[in-house]
Amino acid sequence: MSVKNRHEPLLHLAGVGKFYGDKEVLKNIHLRIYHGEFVAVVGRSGCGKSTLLRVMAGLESIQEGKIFVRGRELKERNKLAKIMFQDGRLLPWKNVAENVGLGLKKESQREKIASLLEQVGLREHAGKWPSELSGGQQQRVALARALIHEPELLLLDEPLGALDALTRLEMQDLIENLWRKKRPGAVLVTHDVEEAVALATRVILIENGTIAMDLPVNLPYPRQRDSAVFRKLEKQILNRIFNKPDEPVYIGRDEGNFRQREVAGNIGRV
Amino acid sequence: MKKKNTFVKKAAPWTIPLLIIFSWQGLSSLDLISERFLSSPAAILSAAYELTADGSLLRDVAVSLRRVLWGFFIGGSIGFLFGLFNGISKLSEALFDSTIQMVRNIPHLALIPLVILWFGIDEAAKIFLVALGTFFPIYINTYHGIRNVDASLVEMARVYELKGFALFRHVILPGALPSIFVGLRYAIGIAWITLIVAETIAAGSGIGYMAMTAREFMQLDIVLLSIILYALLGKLSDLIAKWCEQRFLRWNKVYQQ
Ligand SMILES: Nc1ncnc2c1ncn2[C@@H]1O[C@H](COP(=O)(O)OP(=O)(O)OP(=O)(O)O)[C@@H](O)[C@H]1O
Ligand SMILES: [Mg+2]
Repeated sequence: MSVKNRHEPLLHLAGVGKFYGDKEVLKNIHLRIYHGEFVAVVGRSGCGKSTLLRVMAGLESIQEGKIFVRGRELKERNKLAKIMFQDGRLLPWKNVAENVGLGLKKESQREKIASLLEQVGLREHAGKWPSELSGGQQQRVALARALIHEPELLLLDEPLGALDALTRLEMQDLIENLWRKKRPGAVLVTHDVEEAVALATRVILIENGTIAMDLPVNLPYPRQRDSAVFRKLEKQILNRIFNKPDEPVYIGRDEGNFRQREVAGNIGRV
Repeated sequence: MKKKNTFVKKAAPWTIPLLIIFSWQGLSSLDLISERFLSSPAAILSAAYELTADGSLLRDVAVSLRRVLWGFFIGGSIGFLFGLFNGISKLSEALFDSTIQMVRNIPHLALIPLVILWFGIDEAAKIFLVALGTFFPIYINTYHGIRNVDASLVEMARVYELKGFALFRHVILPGALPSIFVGLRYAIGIAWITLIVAETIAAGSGIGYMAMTAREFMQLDIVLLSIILYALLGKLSDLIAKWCEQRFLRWNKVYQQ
């Protein structure tokens, strides 16, 4: 990776618009994601989060705008990215270890798979079929499969949605530690605002297919969840989601989000 | 308690067939069933013993088995390959599928007179008919199996850098396998039926030939023996296919005991 690339965004969405038939699912998305950035995407069900992630992975055609990966226009699949799909997508005919090792080079495989399965707490399930696992266990297999590749751009679509509170915290730690080790670009879709503030360097709110809020989180890791700043940030985001504009929170960073500033007008200061 | 239950479960399906055989034998021994209408099980067994002793039974069974295997192998492979290519390639599908679907509507047994004109009552005639009969079920099920492989899994596999043959081997083929096995088991049934018809109409050897010569000499026990042989062989080949199915589809909940 050259020095020049360091200053080039890992991923740049320039005015991206996406339609399903007549339905506009993403509108005028401007977003630059740099190496070492951890972006959390929040928003209500159906607002376009998964679609945004799929667009970033190069799995969807877009009808407006352009996507650049390290300055080069993206024409097909984004090869820097590994995406963990919202619906898991384990191969039912491969056991847990084989699913995690999918697409890995042979040599490094064994130890890496074992160590990652250990980390997601599924070591003793390595030989099982996906159909023999619980929903949360399947999700962790899919997470391990995405993490094992240490991609430059890690895309996680609600990776912890089916987990209990305790396992969830453990998996958040795992994601945080793996991300901090190499500092790739990371995008995490979540419905859990606390999770977003705990992990991300930047929280994005999607509303009706546009970026309605873009908020940096400048707190040191590991984050103290009961600290006043943490709670205040969390509250700000929640208030914005529920459209209680009592606190000025909109801090747009990428250009082109002007329309949203007007939409978010009564939120106040930009 | 539990042990008894599993014993009952295992024994239950056998009770009625055994009952039938025993009462059949009993009625025959009491001369309540005429020898000219139905030979007794004991008579059939002794016929089987005699024919095994002079080697003709084994020879005829081997001949029939060879015809089924060859026909099944040839028709199945061609069907599988066409299903494969038409499932994967749009061009291949556009070229072949509608023609194959059209030909499929001709009952293959209707071709027997034509096949006899072409091949005589040679081995080739039987193998050709069996191959034709097995081709279609295997083709259709392979084709649909591949077509219906979960597209989201294929997309996932592409993200994880699987392409070309690896994609086929690890995702497409296993995804199509349940459907392929449905075709396989169906085709085995068709193969035996085809062979029975073909051997009964025109053959110089094989189980059907054995039955037809026995009919000429009014050897009822041998006729019945050949019917039983067909049934046993058909059942046996289905059991083998079922065993393979269970082994290869272990991952599928339906096949987990
Ligand atoms: N393949 C598709 N065809 C047509 N419409 C689609 C398709 N996929 C998604 N949509 C629509 O696009 C919108 C955004 O979907 P998306 O899956 O991105 O939502 P989401 O924010 O991820 O929701 P959730 O939080 O429930 O996962 C929805 O209104 C959905 O109905
Ligand atoms: Mg979604």
